[in-house]
Parts: sequence; structure tokens; C-alpha cells
Amino acid sequence: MTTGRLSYELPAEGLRREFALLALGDLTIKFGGLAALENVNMAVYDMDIVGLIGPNGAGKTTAFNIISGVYRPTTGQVLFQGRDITAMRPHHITRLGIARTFQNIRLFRKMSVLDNVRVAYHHHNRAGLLSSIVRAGIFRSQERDITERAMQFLRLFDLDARSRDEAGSLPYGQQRRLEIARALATEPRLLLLDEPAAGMNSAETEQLMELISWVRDQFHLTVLLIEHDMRFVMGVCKSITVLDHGRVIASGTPDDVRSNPAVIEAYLGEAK
Amino acid sequence: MEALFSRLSNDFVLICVYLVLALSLNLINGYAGLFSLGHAGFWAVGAYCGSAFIIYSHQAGPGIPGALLFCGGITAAMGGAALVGLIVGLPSLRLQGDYLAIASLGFSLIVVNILNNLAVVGGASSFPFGGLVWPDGALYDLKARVAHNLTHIVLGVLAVGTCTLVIRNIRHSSHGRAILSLREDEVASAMCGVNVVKYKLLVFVLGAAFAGLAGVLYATYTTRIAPEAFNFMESVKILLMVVLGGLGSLSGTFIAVIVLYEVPELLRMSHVTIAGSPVADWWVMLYALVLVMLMILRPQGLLGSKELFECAGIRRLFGMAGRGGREA
Repeated sequence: MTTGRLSYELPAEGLRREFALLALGDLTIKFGGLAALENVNMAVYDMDIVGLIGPNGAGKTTAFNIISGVYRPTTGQVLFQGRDITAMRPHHITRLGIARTFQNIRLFRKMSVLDNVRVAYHHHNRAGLLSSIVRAGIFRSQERDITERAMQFLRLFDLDARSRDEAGSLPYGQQRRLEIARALATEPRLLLLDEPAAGMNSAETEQLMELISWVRDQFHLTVLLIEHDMRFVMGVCKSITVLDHGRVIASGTPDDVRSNPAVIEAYLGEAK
Repeated sequence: MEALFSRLSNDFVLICVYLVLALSLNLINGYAGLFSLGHAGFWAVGAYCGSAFIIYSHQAGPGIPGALLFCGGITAAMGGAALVGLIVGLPSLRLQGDYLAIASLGFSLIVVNILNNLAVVGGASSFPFGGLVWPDGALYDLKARVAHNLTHIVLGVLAVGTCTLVIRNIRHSSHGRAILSLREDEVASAMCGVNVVKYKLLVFVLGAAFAGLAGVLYATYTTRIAPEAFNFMESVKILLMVVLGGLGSLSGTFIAVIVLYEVPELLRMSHVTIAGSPVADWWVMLYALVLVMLMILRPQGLLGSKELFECAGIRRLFGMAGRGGREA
């Protein structure tokens, strides 16, 4: 119980929580009696790139699902910018500034590349249903704005040439990029990336590392990512939290984590 | 001459009724990807709400002009159907999965049963307009009948036009893209900030309201409605029109409605017999066969989710250059 929670059990805990962009407090979620996460505490600070790692089944994606509102935790709470978002519905959380991508890419495959990004802009749309039906002036100016900004995102990600193609027809690497572009179009403060380098070769992974650092600086956002590729995690993350069997077993800088015996044990099995 | 006019106008008005039904179901089923099996139920609610409003208002104040009664009837029909849509949709649309199919199927069966036992609207026998025809006059009178048919042709065109325009304009807007994204991936669209439950309800209620419009048009045209006209098979028929034309294709729906309405009518008229029974009886079998073939050869329907003018062949025919305009 003691190893993983060191930094958060200090007296200054409350203070740190207040300044954290995202704070998970004693998060527990049980599925039919089985705890997928147990008393998870974690804090993510502004402009950080934080890695969430751990063996398969450690509860990483479950943590993402709780943060983004897909699951509701059994106990504990999620604070975002000091605000309790634990019981909020997903679209509401997105509007507050948390966006995510998925482990297995979830694009709107039959919609165009442009429309994928434009859907993410929908919550900025100020043209009501009625003005859209009668094609009022506000509808036209809003459509122009939305399309323009969506195209900007596509240009940033070098996808503008394929804006009219079906998203499902893109090659794998471009689909990953489009998913990130779509997440960014919701204008988040915090970006959750679930295994962004999955299925990529080392050259593509290299590019992705640059892209993520660039995105962070360009959009002034904070990134929390799940990844199995250790070279990727160690290269891009400033701090790392390690989950195993639903508990935080270590957190700290990449070097701390790398040399932590509990982490080595979790990955390689008990040393005899 | 009279017979031909009567037949053509009858077909025209009923095709308009089915068009409004199929277009609105396409909004629910094709665009939002919600599987509703109870569209005839909303049609019935609209028909009975509209009729009840017109008949009882007429009884209360015989001096009220027909046009006003009809407008009130439309409001009552669309409002009633939308309200019922809200009541059916609210519990079932909050859940993911096919609960809506079951809830809407149950709903359409319940509606027919209630109407069969509801004496104020005629019960199992028909709910006639008691000689009330709009515009005023009796149906036995040829002139009144021509006027009646012509009026309903105009009303039918207006209803189909409004329905098409509203659905098309919603589709090509930010709201429409949000609705389409629901069909693709509900979780992902919530992560993009789309209020999933709100848009599902919106689509369902709007679709129900248009089914109500079709109901009142059907009721004032036939001037005599009975519960069995809105049975479950009608829901299936409307669904088949949508699926045949292509989920998400409005022009496909137009083609499918006209084909699926006219082919059995023409067969009925032809008086040809095959193996001793009229060809119209064989149609039911043929119908099933066509559907099975369709599902094997072209599961996305005739036009898929494209519109007619987006298909390559049609574009070439009209000399339009470039790829299909699918971006909006």
C-alpha cells in the first residue's frame, strides 16, 4: 500500500490536488466484485506529458474510461481543473476540455475525413436546428467557420489532400493522425492517448513522438498517454505512473520508474 | 376518364403518404442508425389524433372553415405523434443496443390494440368522418370528389416537399453530422462532445412527428380509417422501402417507395394468372425473393447512402465532372 502513494500522502496533498489539472482521488471501480482499479491516486499537472504504463489487464484503459466518463467509479473521484467531473456524462466532460483517442481506432469510418473533424467542432456550433433548417445567415457563417477551422487541423496533420475521402479508406498511420486531429478539434486542455503507437513501425513511432511533443507546445495542452512501447514512453514522458492489478505501484521520472524493483517485478515476474 | 383520374390521383396521394413515412423513417433508421420497428404506430397516432381533432371540432362548431380544421388537425397529429415518440423514446433511447427495436415493436402492437377498444374513435370498426369532406361537400358528388382529390394531391406534394427539405437541410448541417456520427460510433461521438441521448431523441421525435403528418393526410384523404390499416406489417413495409432504397439515401427512398407501391398495384390490375392464381398473389412470394436477393447482392440498398446525383453513372449522364460531392 505504501510504495506507490508516497508523493500523495504528504501533508501538502490538498494543495497539490488543487493545482493539478487532473487528479484521481482514491479511485476504485468494481465489475461484479472484481476490482479493476483499487484506490488509485494520481495527479497530472499543466503542460506535462505523463505516461500510464503497466502489464496487460492492469486497468489503464479502465482509468481512461473513468476519466472520460464512459464508466462511473464505484468510489473515489475525478477532479479536472479543481472541478468534480466524476458523475458527468462523456460529452459534457469533452466540452470541459478532455479529449481522447482509442486503443483500436474509432473513426467515423463511412464519413469523410473533413466531417470527422467537423463533428468534433459541433459543440462550438451556434446555429440552432431551426436556423439550420431554414438556412439562416448564422447557419452559413457558422458552417464556413467550422469548415475553415477543420481544414486548418487537417493541414496541420497533412491530411488536407484527402479531406473528401472516406475516413475508413485511409492507411493506418493516417487514421491514427486523423483520430488525434479529431480529438484536438474539440479544443481540449487535456489529451488522453490510448496506445497511440500501437501497430506502428519504428520510423512511424519516431515521427509520432515528435508529433506529440509538437502538439503539446503548439496547443498548450497536457498529455496523458498509455503505451506499451517503452522506448516511446521513456523518450516522450516527463513522469510515469505504473499500474499493476489495478493499483499504482510506482510513479516518478522515467529513471526512477525504470530502476524501481516493484516495476521490474510486475513486468518480469518475482526475482527469486 | 373519371376512373383513370381517380386511380392516378389515388396512387399519387398514397405514394405521397408512404414517401413521408419512409423519408422520416430513413432519418431515424438510415441517418441515426436507430432500429425502429414501430413507424406505423406513429402513423396511426397521427391519423387518429388528426381525425379526432377535426371531427370533434366540427361537431362543436359546425361553422369553422375546413382549412382551419385541417391546419388544427395537422398540429394535433404531429404534436400527438411527437409526444408519443418522446414517451416511447425517453426510456429506450437512454440504453445502448437494440432496446428501441423491441420497445417500438411493442408500442405499435399496443397502439392497434388500444384503438381497437377505444369507442370514442370508432373502436375496431372504422372511424368515419361522417360525411365531412374537406373542402366542403359530399363524396358522392363528382365535382366535390375531384376537388377533394386535387386538394390532396397538392397537400401531398407540400408534405413530401417539406419533409424532404427539412431532412436534407438537417443532414447537411452540423446537427446532421452529429446525427450521422451516432450511426458510425456512439462512444466516439460522445467523446467528440455530441450529446448522444439528446440527438437520438430529437431524431426519433422528429421522425414520429412526420409519421403523424402522413397519418392526418391519409385520414382526410380516405375519410375513413380503421386500426388494422396500421398493423405491424405496415411498419415492415415502410422499413423495407427504406432498406431497399438505401439507408441514408433520400432519392433512393423515392425510387423504392414508388416501385414497392406501384408494382403490386400494376400486377393487381393486370388480371394475369399463373398456375391458376392471380399474379398479384404471387407477388408476395416474389417480394420475399427480391428482398433475399437484395440482401445477398446489394446489402446497402439500391443507392447505399449516396444520393442519385452523387452516383458516377448519373453524373456522367448529365456531364457533371469530379467526384461525388459527399463533403457537406
